[in-house]
Amino acid sequence: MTDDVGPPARRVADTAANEVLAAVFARVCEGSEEAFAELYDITSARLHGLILSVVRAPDLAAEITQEVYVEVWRQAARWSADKGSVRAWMHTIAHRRAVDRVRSVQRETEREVRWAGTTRESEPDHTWEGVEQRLEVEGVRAALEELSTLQKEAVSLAYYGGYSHREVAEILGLPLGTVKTRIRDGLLGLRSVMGAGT
Amino acid sequence: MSDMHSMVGSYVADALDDGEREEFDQHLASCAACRAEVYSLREALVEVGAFHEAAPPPMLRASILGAISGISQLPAQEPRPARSETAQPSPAVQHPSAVQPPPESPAPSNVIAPAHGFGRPRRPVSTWLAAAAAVLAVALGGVTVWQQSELRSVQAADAQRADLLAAPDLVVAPGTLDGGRLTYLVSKERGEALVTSSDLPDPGPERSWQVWVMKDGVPRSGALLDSGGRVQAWIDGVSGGQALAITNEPRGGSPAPTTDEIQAIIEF
Repeated sequence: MTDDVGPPARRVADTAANEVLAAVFARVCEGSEEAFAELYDITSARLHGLILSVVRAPDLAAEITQEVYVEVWRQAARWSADKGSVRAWMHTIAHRRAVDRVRSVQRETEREVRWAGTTRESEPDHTWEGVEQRLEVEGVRAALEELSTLQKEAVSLAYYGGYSHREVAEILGLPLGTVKTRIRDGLLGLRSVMGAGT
Repeated sequence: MSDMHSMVGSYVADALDDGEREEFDQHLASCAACRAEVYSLREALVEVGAFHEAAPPPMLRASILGAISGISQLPAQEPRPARSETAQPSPAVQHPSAVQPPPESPAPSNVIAPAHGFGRPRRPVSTWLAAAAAVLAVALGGVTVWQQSELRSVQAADAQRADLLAAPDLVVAPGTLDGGRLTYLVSKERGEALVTSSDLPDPGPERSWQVWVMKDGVPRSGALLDSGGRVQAWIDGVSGGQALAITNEPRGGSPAPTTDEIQAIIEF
């Protein structure tokens, strides 16, 4: 093949890696613990990284990572292609669990804060700063640069911050409809930056 | 339901509350467009995840492997709410039709080459390769959901396949043959290729599908595809080749192509 091997070549490499993963996962579905160790080795850095991005506390992240892998082991045979690729399925489980945990921790904190008679006024800024800083350090920024600031903000608060879209609307002082649109447009923007799904 | 559709992003970001999530799950069951968008956004987020990988603490590995060895896996069959589309085969054997490819992704590429000259062995290979290159450009862009599921079922079986799938230079491309779908897996490094199909059309009475390896313009017989249905054909000696082509030949195959009509072609 000649010069225009750029995107297709990358796609092929990705596909090859995905197929290795799928082969390993097929053995996991048959109950192979050895294959599960391989699955862990292939997927854990990205999965743990995602969880850590959301919950931020390393101990809590490790705990959730363990829960997610146990869940993946239990549910493996129930994975099907309509749930997305194996990785996407695992990330979906991981992200939801991380967000659930952040929210329950947040609810507890709120109770304590209310008890102490203070508000969480300053928290959104703090969170936003933290999210942005982390993204800067870890390189997502390059991908996010393509997005508008407003979309970035919405995606970061919702996806990495673990805030519900209603909370994001409150934090940003925007109508819920606008926030929904920004989160969606932001994710669509990320999709086009990553060259996936198009 | 445009209002529902506007929640796709919030759903994927896990930013819905429980009630909304349930509502959206129900909507997803009946909206292929939203399903496709959810699917593609999740895949994109996996890609984004590559930017913030973080190795878990080393002892976590042993802890997790210890934990799962005491836990039995759930059986494949999941009780599902009654939805017409959820009658699915066991995940171990994915059927292509169970997958909803995103509508915005290209349709599985049709790798039917027009009837360019073949069968005349002296014909220059450039015609071939020009056609093949054009086809390939489309084909590689169209590695679809269908294909992935096809591959999953393909690779569930044995080590030779796993080995090929692990080849660093593996080329995976979809194709069609007389309306049936094919997947080509080619590794020049390993010198082998695998052609698979789950719905290969019958080649006709007293006919066979024959795969040719094109090497510097000369076709060499690679393999015969069993007639009809699910097939897997291994082809050796692809290292020096440039393309695979398939023709319809008399039953049992021919030493050299007997027809001009290339039914399918893939350059690698």
